[in-house]
Amino acid sequence: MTFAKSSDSVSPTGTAAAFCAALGLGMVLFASSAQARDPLLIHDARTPIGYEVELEPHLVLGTNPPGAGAGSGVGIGARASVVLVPEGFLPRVNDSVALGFGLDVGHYTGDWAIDGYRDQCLHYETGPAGTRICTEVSSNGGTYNYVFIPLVMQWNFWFTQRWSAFAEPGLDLYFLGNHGFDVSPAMYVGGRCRIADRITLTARLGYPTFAFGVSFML
Amino acid sequence: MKNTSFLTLTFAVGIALLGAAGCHSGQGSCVQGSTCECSGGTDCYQGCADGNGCDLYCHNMVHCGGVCGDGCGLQCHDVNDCSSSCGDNCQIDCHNTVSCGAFCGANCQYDCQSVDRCGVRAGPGSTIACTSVTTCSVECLGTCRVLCTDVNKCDVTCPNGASPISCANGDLACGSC
Repeated sequence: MTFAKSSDSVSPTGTAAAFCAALGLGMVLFASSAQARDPLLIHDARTPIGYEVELEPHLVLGTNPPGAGAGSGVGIGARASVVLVPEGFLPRVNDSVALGFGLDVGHYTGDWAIDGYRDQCLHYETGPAGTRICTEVSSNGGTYNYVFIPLVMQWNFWFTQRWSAFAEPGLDLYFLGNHGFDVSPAMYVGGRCRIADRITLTARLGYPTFAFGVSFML
Repeated sequence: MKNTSFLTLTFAVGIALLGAAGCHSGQGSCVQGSTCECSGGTDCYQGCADGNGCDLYCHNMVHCGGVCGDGCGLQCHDVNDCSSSCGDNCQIDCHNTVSCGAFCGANCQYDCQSVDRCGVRAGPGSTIACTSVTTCSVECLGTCRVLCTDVNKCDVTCPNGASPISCANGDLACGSC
């Protein structure tokens, strides 16, 4: 698949945009039904993908974050994916591999937890006989501001001119206030729906965050 | 070049946001006058949202803790460690745990029973009872009475380095019996 400037660009429509935004992984299934007007490319292993870097600002959602935080949160972020292997791993499949990295900021609230919340101790002091005494607790599950720095391998599958999907195993380095930096395993799956030349709507589901944004293929 | 600028800007903003990241403090979620119970799971730390007058009850988990102002009741049992931080006129009961630790203010009533380590720092007018305990360590910040029963090591520290006195009924006291 190529994102070269050409007359075959797909014009955006309101219906398509709303449809794309609501989908994540499901878009892969719809790709086959759109085959008549959007021919399959997945078997064209040597179709050039036509971009070097994907830049994707997005909204972030998450629940049950790693580390000391709790609850659910929203935020913003951006992802950059640099194409490393344009021909991909599979000989007869139109895939490609990129290195993805980015920055996400999320504000989590304990009482937005999907399974209830418990307050947490925010400060300990040492007491007599070596006891550890909590002197400050969170309120309503507490609030937590996270900064995530994902680093993933993005494995792309280019199904049609409009539809593509990807899997992203990797790591998320995260920072949480007094708790400092830590690292969490990360796993995402997602999809893209092309809405204009070199522009797609992109959805990403996984842990520790979900993301919905727009990708610019440069 | 344009790509590089975008990435640089993104990460500059991100680094700036690191400074804003953190945990916000709070005062707990239990309402004054109510009993808040917590059991099962690993950790439970409760606080009194209105500051004073809560009853915090925690049992059958690994870590329990309660933070409250004045006039509170804190109870925990069958946990690994239990911590209590309370203001004046609190009643604290900790039993069947590995360790119990507490900071409490004036007129504190502290009972520690069937525990390996009890450690209490209590305000003036407090009464501390350690029963069936390996180590009971009490720091009195004013006058206090400490009753150690079936305790291997009972340490009482009085203000200004004074030694506790032994009372006729077996209590140790800071100040007079």
